[in-house]
Amino acid sequence: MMCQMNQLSQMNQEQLLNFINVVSFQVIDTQLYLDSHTQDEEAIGHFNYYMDLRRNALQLYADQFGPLTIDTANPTNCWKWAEQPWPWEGGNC
Amino acid sequence: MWNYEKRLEYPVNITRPNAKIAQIIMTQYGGPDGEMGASLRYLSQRYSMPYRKVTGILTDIGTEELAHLEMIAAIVRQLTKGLSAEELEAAGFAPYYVDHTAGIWPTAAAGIPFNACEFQSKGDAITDLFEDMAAEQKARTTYDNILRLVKDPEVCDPIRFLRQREIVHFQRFGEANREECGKGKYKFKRCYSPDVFSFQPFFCLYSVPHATIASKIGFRLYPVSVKVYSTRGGTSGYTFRVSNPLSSIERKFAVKTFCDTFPIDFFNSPNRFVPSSKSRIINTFQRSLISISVVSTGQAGKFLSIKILISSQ
Repeated sequence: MMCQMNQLSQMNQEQLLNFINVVSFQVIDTQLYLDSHTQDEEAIGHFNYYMDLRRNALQLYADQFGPLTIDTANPTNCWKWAEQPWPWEGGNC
Repeated sequence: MWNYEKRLEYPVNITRPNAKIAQIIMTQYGGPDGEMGASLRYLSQRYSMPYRKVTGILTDIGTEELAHLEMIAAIVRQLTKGLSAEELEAAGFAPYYVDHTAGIWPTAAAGIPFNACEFQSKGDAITDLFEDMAAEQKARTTYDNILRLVKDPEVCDPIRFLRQREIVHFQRFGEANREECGKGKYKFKRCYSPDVFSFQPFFCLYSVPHATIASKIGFRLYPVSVKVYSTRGGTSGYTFRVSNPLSSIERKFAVKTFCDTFPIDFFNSPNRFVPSSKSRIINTFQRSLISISVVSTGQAGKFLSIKILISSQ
């Protein structure tokens, strides 16, 4: 896990966003699978692993480039949420 | 991208099912001013919105409306849960029950299904924001009507919360309209000019928003032949008056009085030893050529011009 975090902090914005897209899709796909396979321990381990990666990556992205979710917004003296480019403007894609 | 939070925005705990109330509340799910239309309206409008802040407001309010949609569905569900077909029929719920059982389906109270024609996405910042403000007020009125019809405090409590949110949203859209779409130096030049010939002395808020938008986004959203848009609507009535002279001031001037009195009286009068008064100072108003012209237009759009020329003296 620590190894992953070091790699994350060296990524540029595009790489980090791509990483978030990848791990978030893992979370969504595993979530759907677990909805119908509630006892699958391997899947639960898979879910937890990617959920941790997603949480850390989102926090790192918010600290460096601005928030992607309202839970990581954490404003200090400036509200960036509405000021940064929207996804369909080619902002975060 | 959206994520779901497994909670209601405001708690809904209804212990007394009542299908009659459910039918009324259902209109805020899929009715003409319901939460489904509200959410789709804002989330559809945000793509063409030229201002990022307004896009943010549309996104966040559109998202909150989805939470309201869930609250309305929760109210309807709790009001119909566990009722038998006979109970539903007695409450006038049979026409809904036969098609949807106890499922939640977007429809107005009178049975008209949800329709996208109930909202607009026009691709014009001003048009869309005014639509949004009107929509919030229409939803607020609907909640007012619900509160007049429904007396169960367990139902009224979340409905009051939803009604209050409509007012807050109206406020936010109003600020977006005023502060983002209505600002720019052109506006101030037009509106706060002390020029007496300005025909818009008091109306300034939304006088030329399209010019401001055009200057920011680089292209014009309005037709070539139209120079300035006013969002007031209709023909403006105004009266414009010019008079000459602009004003009169009191001034003193001398009037010759020599020879006005008969000379013989002078020689006989006791005043004959005082110096003769050849002129007298009087106070009067200047009287010169007066002209007044009045140009007046009204809602009928016809020009009326009156020109009065008064010459005196």
